[in-house]
Amino acid sequence: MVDTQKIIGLGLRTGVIITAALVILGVGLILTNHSSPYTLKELINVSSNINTGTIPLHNLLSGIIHLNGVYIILLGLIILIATPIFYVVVGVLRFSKEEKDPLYIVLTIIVLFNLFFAIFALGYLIK
Amino acid sequence: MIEIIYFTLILIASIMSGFLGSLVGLGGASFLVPIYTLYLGVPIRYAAGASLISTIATSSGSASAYVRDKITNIRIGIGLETATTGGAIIGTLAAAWVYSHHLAKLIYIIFGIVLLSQVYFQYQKREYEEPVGSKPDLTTRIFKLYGEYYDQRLKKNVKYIGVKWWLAEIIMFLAGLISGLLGIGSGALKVLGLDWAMNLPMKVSTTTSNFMIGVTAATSSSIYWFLGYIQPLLAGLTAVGILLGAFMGSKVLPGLKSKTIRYIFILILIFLGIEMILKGFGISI
Repeated sequence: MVDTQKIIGLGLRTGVIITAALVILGVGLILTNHSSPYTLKELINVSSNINTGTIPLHNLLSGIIHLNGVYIILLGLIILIATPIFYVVVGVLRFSKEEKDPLYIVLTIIVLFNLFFAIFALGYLIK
Repeated sequence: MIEIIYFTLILIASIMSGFLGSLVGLGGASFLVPIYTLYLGVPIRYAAGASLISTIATSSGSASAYVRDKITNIRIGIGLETATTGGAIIGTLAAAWVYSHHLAKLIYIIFGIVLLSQVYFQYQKREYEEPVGSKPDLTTRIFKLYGEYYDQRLKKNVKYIGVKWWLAEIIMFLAGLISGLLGIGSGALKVLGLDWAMNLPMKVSTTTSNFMIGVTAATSSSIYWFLGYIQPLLAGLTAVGILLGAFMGSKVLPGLKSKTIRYIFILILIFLGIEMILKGFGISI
């Protein structure tokens, strides 16, 4: 039997470490001017409107490939948001495969539904 | 020059928040949002966004150890997340409405009230205890609210059961709501649901609450993301700073026996709470 507690514990830690590493890398890149079209001066302005709502997410992949600091940090944040989702998914597997517990399969699926609804639907609905 | 000031201030503020938060047993957000908004001039929606992201980081970072030691009750945690995630969605939508109607002052006032109410929980906090046996009720059986963990201080396995799942669900919904509205983990309310409503041992309550915070914050932060409440550099730096501070706090904590020091931190909390309320009413000292 696979120890889901161990998998969840390890997954959580790995997610946090990867995020911290990507943020530090991203900050380094921004400091060395690898963040076009955004300048350092704009990025450190706490009142600027450079935020997750205005930075086009469809540039994420090319931004990462070109080692753009802003997108590297965003990748780190996406991984961080994904870590809790990962353990809810592991939870579904655990309740369905190991414990065969129908009530908790349903409860976990409700949690997943809320999460995915928030991530993939709600943002577009309210915009 | 201005870059150096920015990086220094953000890092000092976030490390300090993470450090203080872990010493009083709260997430860093309780200190972070007031410091950012009152003293560093960060708009409260960006402060809340950075705070939510950091909440996931500290929750995941510290949860990993407790999950591995099997103190966290994952079953109870995930079951109750049906309510926290639902509450988080409603709370985030409420925040979006408040910001779009230029009513940010409301957020300041509610934040201040939540801070002050947390002071009460600080006095209630018990460090260790044998769980008082409660009679299992209908929900204990239906939702399988029981477990067992090894208590290092008592040096034995502690078996426990939980009751009143429905009451915990109501409290968890509220916790999610506050979390989404203010961008904090609202761990104190979650502990209330697990410890007071379900009568779980304190250790199980705090670690399970901490585990649950990540899922709640992930739900809210994805909506914050679309609404544009997250500045990448600010949120990233803050998360790393708070993680560092919380880690330092966890190293200092076992040696920290003096109650006086805790009371000083609680006074800071009271001060920040009052300042937030005053700022909400447009009064600044």
